[in-house]
Amino acid sequence: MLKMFLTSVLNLFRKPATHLYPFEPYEPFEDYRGRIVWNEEKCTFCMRCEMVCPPGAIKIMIMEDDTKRWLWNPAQCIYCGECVRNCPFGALTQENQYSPPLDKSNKRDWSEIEREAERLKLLWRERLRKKSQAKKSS
Amino acid sequence: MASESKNKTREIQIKEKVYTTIPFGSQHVALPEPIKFIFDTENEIVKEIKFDIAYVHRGIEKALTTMFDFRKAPYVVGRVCGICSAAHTIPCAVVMERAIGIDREIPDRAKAIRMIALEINRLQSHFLINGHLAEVCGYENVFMHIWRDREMIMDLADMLFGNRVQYDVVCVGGVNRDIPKDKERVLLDKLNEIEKSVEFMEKIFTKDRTLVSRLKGLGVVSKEMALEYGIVGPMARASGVKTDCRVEDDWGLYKDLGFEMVTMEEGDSLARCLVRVRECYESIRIIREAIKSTEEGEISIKVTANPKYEAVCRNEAPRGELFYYVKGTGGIMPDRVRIRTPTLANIPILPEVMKDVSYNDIPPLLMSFDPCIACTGR
Ligand code: SF4
Ligand code: SF4
Repeated sequence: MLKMFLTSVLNLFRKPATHLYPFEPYEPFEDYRGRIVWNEEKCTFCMRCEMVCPPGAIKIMIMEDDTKRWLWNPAQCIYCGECVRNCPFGALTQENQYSPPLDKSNKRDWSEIEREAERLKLLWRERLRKKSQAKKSS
Repeated sequence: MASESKNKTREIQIKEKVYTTIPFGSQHVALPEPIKFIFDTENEIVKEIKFDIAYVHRGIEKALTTMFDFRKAPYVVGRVCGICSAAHTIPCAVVMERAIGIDREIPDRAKAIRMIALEINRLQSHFLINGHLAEVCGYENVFMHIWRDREMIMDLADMLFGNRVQYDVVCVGGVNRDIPKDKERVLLDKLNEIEKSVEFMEKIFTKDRTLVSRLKGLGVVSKEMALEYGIVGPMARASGVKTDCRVEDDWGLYKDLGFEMVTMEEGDSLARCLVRVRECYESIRIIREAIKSTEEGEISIKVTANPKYEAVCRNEAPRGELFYYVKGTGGIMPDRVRIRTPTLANIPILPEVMKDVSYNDIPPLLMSFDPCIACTGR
């Protein structure tokens, strides 16, 4: 009984076990698997990251004028880090910060992007085929 | 006069048998996962049970053969269940390695890290279910204590593997993250703290009168029954069946590190709970040994071939034997993947055990079974 009383009194002065989040900032661990950062200068658009990504959160769009775009969907990413380990040119890094929540400013229609990327890739292959044929005939 | 007649009706009601049908689930406070039971009760005593599972079927086995190549498979099956994520990724990686034929070449350090991931996974799962058991017994205070200590284990996993829930540390061919020296030290320090909280948990579940009298003798599974129904995991070990895939399958270093099985004879809810508590000690010991026995070094080998053989792997998940089967054909996707989860093996005995039990004992009884419905649905 006395012990119980003592514990209750002492508990009045102890720190709470929980984290008062918005008032105390929460720092993720040093090696937390957070958002993926892409370095445009190093990237050669080899498409390796797109190939190894388990949920298909990376899409590379090859535009009709042969410029390329690298797109990443933070909502679909499972933060496994497979793309970072597999990038042969070190163009990808994983930070220990959480990716920002999706809102109107950064929301994209990902299924539309996937469809568009597929379509553009088909066109690109067609162009490559034509080019090689032209080479052969000349 | 009025009160007299009221008393009379109450007397009649008590004497008469009242039959009620109570649906439990598919959404229930004691069970955050969708499983449906229908209890036919006579007064308070449950007489007949029907159940319905697989509300959460996601077709993961099919997806593994049509959508994801074998290198992505461990990441996919980690999402079968949040609580036993590492327990799923490890056998999946091992079974793919066996199907390729490289399982003998996996470095020891990789095996040790896999074991550490699995044991941390087991620790947090056992803490979770014991806390939950205390909660459904009406012991909210113990629940909060145990879950506060569980947070320590989650943070440990966060520090080591980069995420609290999905460790994603296992890949085909080894592991993808080593544990450096400084983290090893933190891990060993934390293990001492965790051991203390396991001691606290053991004290509560062996000494506390309320919990012991509530759980003792509840839902007894005899050894014969356990063998007949083929139950697995801590449930079987609580009934005295010596079965543990950590010694029966050889993907890890358990045999070399002198793993000891925890068994009890009673077979009631309390024994199931205590087996889990005592397994926590064993897990802590195994993590220490695994760190001690291996050095930082090579953690994975290069995988160049595709799975071409048929292979199986059995792994001891926190809830029991987890079975993976793969049939490879030499392509990047296997022909067939089969996952048999422990809860599926433990469910058929439920109606047998729940018969003739008072209805208010059902939630703790069910919790002591530690059902994981997300696994079962897949
Ligand atoms: S793997 Fe690296 S270099 Fe290749 S496309 Fe992706 S980011 Fe660019
Ligand atoms: S971290 Fe994993 S899921 Fe996310 S983009 Fe990279 S490979 Fe894909």
